[in-house]
Amino acid sequence: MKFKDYHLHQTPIDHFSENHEFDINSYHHFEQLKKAIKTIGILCPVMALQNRGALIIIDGFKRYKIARETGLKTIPAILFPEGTSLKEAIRIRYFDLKSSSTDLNILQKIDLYKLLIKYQSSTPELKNWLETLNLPRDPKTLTSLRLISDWPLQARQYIHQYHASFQNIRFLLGVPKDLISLLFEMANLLSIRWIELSEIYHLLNEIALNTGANIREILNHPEVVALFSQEKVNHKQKVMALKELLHNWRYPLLSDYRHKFNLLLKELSLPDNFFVWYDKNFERAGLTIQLKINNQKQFDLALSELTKPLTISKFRELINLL
Amino acid sequence: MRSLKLKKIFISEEVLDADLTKDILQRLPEVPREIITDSQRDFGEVSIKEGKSLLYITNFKGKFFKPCPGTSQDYLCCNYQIINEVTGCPMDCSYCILQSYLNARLLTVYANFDRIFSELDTFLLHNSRRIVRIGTGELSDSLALEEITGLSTKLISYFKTKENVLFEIKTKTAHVDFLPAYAPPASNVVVAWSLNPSQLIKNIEFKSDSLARRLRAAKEIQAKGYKLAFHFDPIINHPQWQQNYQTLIGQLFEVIDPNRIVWLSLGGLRFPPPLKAIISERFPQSALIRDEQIIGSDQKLRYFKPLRLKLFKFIYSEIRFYAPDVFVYFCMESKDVWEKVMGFSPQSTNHLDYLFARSLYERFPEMNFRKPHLAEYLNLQSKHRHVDQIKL
Repeated sequence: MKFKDYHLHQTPIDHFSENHEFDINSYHHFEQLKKAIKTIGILCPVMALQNRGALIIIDGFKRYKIARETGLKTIPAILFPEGTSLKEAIRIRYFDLKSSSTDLNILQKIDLYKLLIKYQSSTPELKNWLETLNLPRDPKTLTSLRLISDWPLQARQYIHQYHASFQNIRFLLGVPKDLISLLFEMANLLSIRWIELSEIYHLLNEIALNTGANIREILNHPEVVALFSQEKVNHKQKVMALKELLHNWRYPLLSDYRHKFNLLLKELSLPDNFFVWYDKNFERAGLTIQLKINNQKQFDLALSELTKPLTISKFRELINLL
Repeated sequence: MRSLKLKKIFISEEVLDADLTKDILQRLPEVPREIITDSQRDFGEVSIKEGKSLLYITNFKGKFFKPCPGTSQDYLCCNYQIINEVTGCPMDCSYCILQSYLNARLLTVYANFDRIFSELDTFLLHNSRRIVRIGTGELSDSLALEEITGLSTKLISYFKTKENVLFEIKTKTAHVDFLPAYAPPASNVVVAWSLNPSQLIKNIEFKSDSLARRLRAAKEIQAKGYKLAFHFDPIINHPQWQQNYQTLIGQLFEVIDPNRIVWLSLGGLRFPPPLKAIISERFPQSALIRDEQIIGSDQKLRYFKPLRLKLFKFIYSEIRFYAPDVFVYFCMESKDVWEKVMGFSPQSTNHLDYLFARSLYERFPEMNFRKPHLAEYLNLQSKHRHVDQIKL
C-alpha cells in the first residue's frame, strides 16, 4: 500500500533498531494498550525512518515495545522513503501529527529540547525549524526543562498520568534526583495529585528545615511508614492522614489548638443535622452553625438542643477559642 | 547604625543641576559617581546587600505622599498618611519587607522632592477639620540617610508651623544630633523608634543601632522638646519572649516619660510569603522562617491568632503598668484582637482615626488641636481624603 510517498509494510520486528531517541510518551496507558494489542494486535502502524538499512522508529515506540514483550514477529509500519532526513522525520512526528506546537505536552517539549541540544550544531536547519515551534526559549525555562528531562522514570510516569504541566511541577526543580524518585514513587503509589504533592513537599521541606532531618528520613519515620502500610484504608485516606501528620509536625501549636477545638466540638455531641464551620487557621473570628430542618419536629428538636445549658456553655467555650 | 559607607553614586542626568544632588555630592566628595541616562537605568542584577552601598539620585514620577496602604478589609487601618522621600535602607533587618517589596535595590533619593510641599499644602487645606498624622519611614528608615539628604530636617521645618498635624519620623538609629531643640512642650514633631528586645536587635536587625543607643537617643530627643512614639513592631515570638519584652518595656519607661509619648503601636511579625524564600537564602539560620505562621486575610504570613493574642496581651499589660493613659493601637489587626486584648475595638478605620484625635486632643491641650467630633470623622469619605483624588 502506498500513502503519499510513504509505504505501509508488515515489517519484521528485528528490522527495527533499538534507538531510544524517540522513546517518549511510552508509559501513558501502557498497560491498557498492551492488553488491547494482545487481544486484537496492532491496528495503528508505527512510523519509521530508513537509515542505512536500519529502521528507526519515529512514532510508535510504545507499540514496538509491546510487540517485543508479547512476542509479535511483525508489526505494521509506515516507512519513510530512503533518504528522508531526520529533520523531515521529526517534522512529521511533531508537526504534522500535531495541529500546533501548543499541543505538545511537557515531555514532548523536553524531548524536542533534547534533540535541539543534540543536533543544533550539526544541523542548523533543524535548529531553525525547532525555533519555528515557538517553544519557550528563555534560559530559565530551558534550564528547567533540561533538569526535568533528567528526571527518573517515576517522574515521567507521573507527568503522563496526571497531565502535569511545567507550572504544576516546577516546585520540584533543583530537588536531587534520588529524592525526585522517592517523591514520585510515593505519588504514583498513592495517586497523589500534583496540588497535594506540592502541599506535601512544602510541609516536608519545612519540617526538614526546622528539624535538621532530611526528607528521606522524614518519609521513613515509623509513623509515616505505619500510615502507608495500613490495610483497609484507601489511597485518598492515606494521603489525608499523611498531610495531617506532617501538618502536626510542622505546626504543633496550631495543631494542638485545632485538636482542642475539635474535642470540644465533639463533646457537644450535636445531632447529625447540625454542621459547624470555622476557620481552621483561627484567623477569622466566629463560627457558622448550619441546620438542616425538614419538618416541625426537627425544628423543635434543634431548638431544644441549642438551648440546653450544656450546649450553650460549650458553644461559649468554642467561641472563646476563636 | 554603622556610618553610611557608599561605594558608588549613580546620578540621573536630568537631576545633575538639582540642589539636592549638589548637596549630596558635596557631602560625599570621596565616593565615585556615574552619570546615567534614561536608557541606562536598568542596573541589572544587583543583590540586596550590594544595593545597600549604592546610591541613586533621580526624579520621582509618582506621588510622594500617599495614604498608608492598609491591605485588608479584615484588619483595621488608622488613616495614617505616609511620605516616601527615600526608598531603600542601609540597615539590614532580616524580616524587612523592603527585601521583596522594592524593584530597585539601590538606595534611591529623589531630587525633585520639593514637589512634596505643594502636595502637602493641598492635602492639609482639604483636611483642616481633622487632626492628621503624617510620617516618613515606610520605604526607608527616616534618619538613615539624613546625614547626606537633610530631608527630614526640611520636613520638620515645613511641619512645625502647621496646625492640627503631627509629623512622625520613624527610625532604628540613634542619629538625632542634627535635630534642633524645640521650645518644649509644643512640638508637633514626633520622633519614633521601633523597639525590640536587645537580643533580637543584635540577631536580626543587622546594622541598626542597639537598644541602648536608641533609648539614649530617645532620652536626648525628649530633652529637646519633641514628642515621642514607640512601635513594638514586629513583635517576634522567641524563647524567653516574656522575660525579654518585660525587660524591654521596663528599660523604656526608666528613661522616657509616658506623658511625652503620643502613641505606642503593637504589631506581630508579618510579611508576604515570597519574603520567606529571601530570608531563608540570606539568613539561613534565622528562626523567623521556622515559626508557625498562617496566611492572613491580607495574604501575608503572620502568627496564628491565639499566639498573637498571647504575645499582645502580655506586652499590652506590661505597657499599661507603666503608661496607663498612652494611646496604644494595633497596626493591622482585626476587631476581635482589639476586643480580646484591650477590651474594646474601634468600629472602623475612621473610628480609629477619631480615637487617635480624641486622645491627642485630651492629652496634649497645649497643642491647641481642634476638638474632634466623631460624626465628622465617621463621615470622612476616603476618596476625598487624599491629594491625588481631590478635584480642585
